Amino acid sequence: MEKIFAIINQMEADGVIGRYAIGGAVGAVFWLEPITTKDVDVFVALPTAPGSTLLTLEPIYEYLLAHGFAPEGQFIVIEGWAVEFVPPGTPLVEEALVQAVERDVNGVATRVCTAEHLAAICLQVGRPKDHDRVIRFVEAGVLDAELFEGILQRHDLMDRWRKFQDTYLDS
Amino acid sequence: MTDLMKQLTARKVERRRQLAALPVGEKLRMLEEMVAATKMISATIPSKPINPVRARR
Repeated sequence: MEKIFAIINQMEADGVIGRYAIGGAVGAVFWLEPITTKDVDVFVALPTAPGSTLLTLEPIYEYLLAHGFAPEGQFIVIEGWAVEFVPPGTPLVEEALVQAVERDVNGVATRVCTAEHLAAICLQVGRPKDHDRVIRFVEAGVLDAELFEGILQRHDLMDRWRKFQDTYLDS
Repeated sequence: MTDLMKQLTARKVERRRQLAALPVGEKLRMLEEMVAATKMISATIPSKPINPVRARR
């Protein structure tokens, strides 16, 4: 996994991508117990071409293919892992990307979304596996309640959070 | 919920917290092992079922 982080760091240094942050299940593993997953989600700011507002993943694919990595659907396979580069699709993910924190993995620096942002994204996406992950975040005691509620308020997720608590947390 | 179930749930939560507290490098290595084990399962091709008609001959 460290090799993947090193490659993404190099992409950032080479200007192929802007700021990045690890999200999804791999991002959650930085805060929780290991959770099995098939892919690595990388939230990424994409540089736009001069005079254009169009965002495209093409430079990422071109760069990685030139470095010998293979595409597989929307993923690029790096070190046996399906890696997906995801431009932020919501203001919440944009904020998660901006406020992501640096972490060291066996001597390799990387950037990961905060636990509070990952939990809020799960709440917003709202699939059963996302709800399960929110419960894990709560049970692990890794969420700063004030930070988390601040995020939920900014992104209009308080109603959803109250319903979630009624359904899953109140006994 | 019975007391036994409450104890089991509390143990599960405690175990998750213990695992969550491990160094991230160790947790990512465990994740890689989990994924490799899953791939091994999906890569196992089951043997063909025995044809009971032929088996009788």
